[in-house]
Amino acid sequence: MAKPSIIIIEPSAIVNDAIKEHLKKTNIFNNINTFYSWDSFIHSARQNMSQLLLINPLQIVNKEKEFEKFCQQHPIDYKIAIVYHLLPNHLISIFDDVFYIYDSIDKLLQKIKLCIASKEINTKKKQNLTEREQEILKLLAKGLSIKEIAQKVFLSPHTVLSHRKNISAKTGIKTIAGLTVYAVSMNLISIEEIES
Amino acid sequence: MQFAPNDSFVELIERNPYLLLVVEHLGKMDFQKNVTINDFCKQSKLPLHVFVSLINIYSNNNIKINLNEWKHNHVLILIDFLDNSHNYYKKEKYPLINSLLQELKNNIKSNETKLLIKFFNEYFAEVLEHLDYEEKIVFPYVRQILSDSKWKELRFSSDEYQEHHNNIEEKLSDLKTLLMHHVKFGQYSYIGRQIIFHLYELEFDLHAHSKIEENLLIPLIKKFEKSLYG
Repeated sequence: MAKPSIIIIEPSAIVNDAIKEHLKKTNIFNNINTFYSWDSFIHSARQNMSQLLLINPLQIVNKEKEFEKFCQQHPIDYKIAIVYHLLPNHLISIFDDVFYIYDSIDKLLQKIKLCIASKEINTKKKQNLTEREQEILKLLAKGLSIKEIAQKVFLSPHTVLSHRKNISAKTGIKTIAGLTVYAVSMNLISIEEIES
Repeated sequence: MQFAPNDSFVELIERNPYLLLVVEHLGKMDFQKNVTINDFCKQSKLPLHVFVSLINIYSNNNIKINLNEWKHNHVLILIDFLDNSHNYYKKEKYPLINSLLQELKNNIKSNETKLLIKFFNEYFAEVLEHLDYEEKIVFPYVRQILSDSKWKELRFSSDEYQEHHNNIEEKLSDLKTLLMHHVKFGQYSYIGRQIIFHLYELEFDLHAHSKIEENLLIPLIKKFEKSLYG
């Protein structure tokens, strides 16, 4: 896998510089970009920005929705919060992991490496749908609801829904109509079965 | 990138040719080339802040917009802008993408292409429904509010409006993913590439369209509603 890039968004210049210097030494990253505010980052952001985001969550207070939307629309795979003190759960839960300012830099590196590793696993996972997922995809393509599928395959609606989410994560396709085209292109189902 | 009133208009377009869409949707294509942004606005009888807000949105700049600068007649410019961009989707992009998909179907006789066309048509039907909703409900509603008279029944909801946008963006993203990752074009990959390019352009303008509505139109509607209804 190519070396990832990282973006640091932290208003304190000292903290910002210190993290950058430490990360530079590790040679893990292709690129380290630093910003002092979310707004200045957004201002300079281009479509193909990097994969890892290390950000002080106070930067996105009252902009949580905008932030989440941005991360979905851009290739930002991991978001780690730089936290100084206790913050409300709803804010922290937006992030994949948390780095406390009193943690050692090694701990931060460990977290980053874990993020990169799980990203690699995710990419590998994407290649194949399990048999169960294929079965559920077929039923989704036939137009069955989650509840109907649950009854048919003897699973709880909750489990079916989580399979449905995995299918979307692996294929990158979110809507039923899109998944139907996918199922046909993968020869999982014939067009006649859908039309009936 | 910030824009200054004295920036050259041609350089502006050279940096981001998509801004020609802004000029076109404003209905100001007939402009003198060698002028500054400020001159262009004067020539076209366009308030500078209106133009700058639009080019910022089309340049992906998240600049805070000062709603106090926006007067009634400026919002009318915005409504005309959005109305014109509907023509771009309906009369230009849709027929182009549709005819390329038909070309694909004539060459690749698979169920997959058939379904892809069905998916695109369903998607575009949803887009048309949304555009229709804007033309029949939102725009007349805004024009009514701007003329300082109350709407008889409140049929417009900004939440519902927002929901439309999300659905439309999700389907378009699926369409792109299918074409880029899953559909096999073989020797007709040049048709696939043209479709993908057009979808990107469509997505770009539709995204700017939603942003204009979410960041400008809806806050302005709320502001004028407040002064009207208290």
